[in-house]
Amino acid sequence: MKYFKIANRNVKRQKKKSNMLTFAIAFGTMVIILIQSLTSGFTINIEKGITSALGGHIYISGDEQLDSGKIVNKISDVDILQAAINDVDPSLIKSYHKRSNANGNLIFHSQSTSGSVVGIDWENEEQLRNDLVIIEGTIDGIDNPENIILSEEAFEDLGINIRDDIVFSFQTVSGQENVASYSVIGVAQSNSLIGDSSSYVSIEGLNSVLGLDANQYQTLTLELEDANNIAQVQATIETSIEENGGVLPLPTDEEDDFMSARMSMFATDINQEWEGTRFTLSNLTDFTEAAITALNVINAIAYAIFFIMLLITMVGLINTFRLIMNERVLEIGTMRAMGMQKKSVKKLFNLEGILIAVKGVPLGLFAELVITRIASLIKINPDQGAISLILKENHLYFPINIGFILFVAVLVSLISLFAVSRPVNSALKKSVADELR
Amino acid sequence: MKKIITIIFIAAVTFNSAFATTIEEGTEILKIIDSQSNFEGSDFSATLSMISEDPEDGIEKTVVYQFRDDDDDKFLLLIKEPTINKGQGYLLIDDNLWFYDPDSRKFSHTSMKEQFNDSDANNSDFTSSSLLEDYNVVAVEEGKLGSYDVNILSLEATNNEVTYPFQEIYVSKQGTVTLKKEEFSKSGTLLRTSYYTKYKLVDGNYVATYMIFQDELIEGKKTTIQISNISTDDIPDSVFTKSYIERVNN
Repeated sequence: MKYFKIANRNVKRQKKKSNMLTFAIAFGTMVIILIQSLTSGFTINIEKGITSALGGHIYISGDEQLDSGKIVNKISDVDILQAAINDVDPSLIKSYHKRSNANGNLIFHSQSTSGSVVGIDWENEEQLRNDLVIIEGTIDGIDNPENIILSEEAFEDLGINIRDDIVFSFQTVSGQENVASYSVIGVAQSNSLIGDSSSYVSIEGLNSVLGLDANQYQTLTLELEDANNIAQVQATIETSIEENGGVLPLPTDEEDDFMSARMSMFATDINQEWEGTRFTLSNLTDFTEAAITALNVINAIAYAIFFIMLLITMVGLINTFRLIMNERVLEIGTMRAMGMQKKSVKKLFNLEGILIAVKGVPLGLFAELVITRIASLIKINPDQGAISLILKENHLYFPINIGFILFVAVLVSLISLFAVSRPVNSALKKSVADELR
Repeated sequence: MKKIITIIFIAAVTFNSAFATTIEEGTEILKIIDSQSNFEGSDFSATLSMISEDPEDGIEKTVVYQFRDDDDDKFLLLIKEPTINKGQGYLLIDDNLWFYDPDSRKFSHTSMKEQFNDSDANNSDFTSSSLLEDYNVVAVEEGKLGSYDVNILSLEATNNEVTYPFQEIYVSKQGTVTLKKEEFSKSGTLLRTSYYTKYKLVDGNYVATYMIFQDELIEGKKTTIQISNISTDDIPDSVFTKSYIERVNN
């Protein structure tokens, strides 16, 4: 307590120098936490954006063989799949969604463009409704089977206005030509990072024109609580499907190239014959090579900046303490001359370092919070889809990671101690006479 | 007076039914149309000149060499013009339709239902007809198309894998050839109207030598095909192979 009082008095006594050190620590802390928070926000938004666009982490599609031998994409054995999902630990699954899809031509008078139209169960896929960036019009009314949210590419290609009626020409699951009319109610920003530029309708309406029953669908996507459980959940579902009499594709050759694995969701094995639905499972990593690479780069940059900032903070503190220590050599000599032991002097200076760190870290944290809150209030209108992926509802997102903040606080305090101890140690190596000279 | 009206009505109905085309006769017409388009016992080759009119892409001319072996259900379409598509080929063998791209030197699987070279003609338009196998005649009407007396056959697909679930074909009573065809979607929307305005008699079969395929969804989009250099000489089996397509591109 006695040392604490002296240390505190010393810190207060040398206000200018102490403040300089405090600001140095505060700045280092602020930058480190700011960079981590920013990159962490990017990572969360990118993962969320991709998961939302693809509908989840695990994708299950179904193939069925018609009497003619033709293979069509649909899931009729819905009970088998439901049982398999029920076999997964519910705490691992956040949600699951059923989707249908058709590729064809979107037509407006003499203009046409090819595109993908995805049927969404909007009632149960609230997340996509929130995540879609609507750049024109509204998403309200998308539950109506006659309405469509167009991709921005299709919207530009067709040169239309909101509320215009368009025709979608496509083939049913069995290959028959069909058309559907939709009223355009909104335009969704494309997810260019994963090359997704789909338009969206209700699954109910799309199923009826695709030749699917109301309870059928083409893909089921599972969103997990934690992406680290993808392999475990996928394995459970595959095992359960087989146990319940369902069919999975024949095992693929391990030497298959990457593209084969990536396209496995759409693959049809002409050597396999089956009855009912053949389920094919794939997951996020099959589709997001580019995104994962981008995330890895962001994380690598974040770690590099983190270590550089630590280094800069440490060097800055050591130099500043050394300067201060040079000025306080006389003071150390006086203390030693009065009978104070080396150990006690060291303890005193260490306490000063900790006191400065204790003031600097919260100050840095406060500055970081103020800056991030202001930055997150600024609305950004991205021209490119890729930028929208790192944003949360057109704003920068800075998540607060308490664990990381505590880690930084401890680390910066330790650095402060290290920065103090080196010049103190070298000052204490001198004799008392030299110190007093 | 009532009696006279009843007698006239019955006479009219009897007269009409005696001369109107029945469903059975409509089915016979389909059989004739199919056999007219099939060159069984001989091969078929021709040069197709296609003019595609697209409101967005403008007008494009394509010249295609067509080879058919209807006995073995094989065909080959080789694009000669325009230069950008030169060497591309569509090969039907063993029930598989392959598309060859000379730039990548690779074959990819495609479907008879796909459009040929982004035109309004489908790949299936270049094969022999199989209407009787894929459709039932559900109604027959007599009518006129221009100056021609025609039977208008309403067709409904026998299975759900046929490209067009419904068709209406206008068949000339003279020569039993198709003059006009309307193809409908599953929902009943008119998708394409085809006109067959000129025919040539080749080895006892009528071959349409001038066809217009009009897209009914995209305003102003149509493709005209003119067929020339028709031959029924034997075509070597080696023509219907992937290596032949690769060879002609070297």
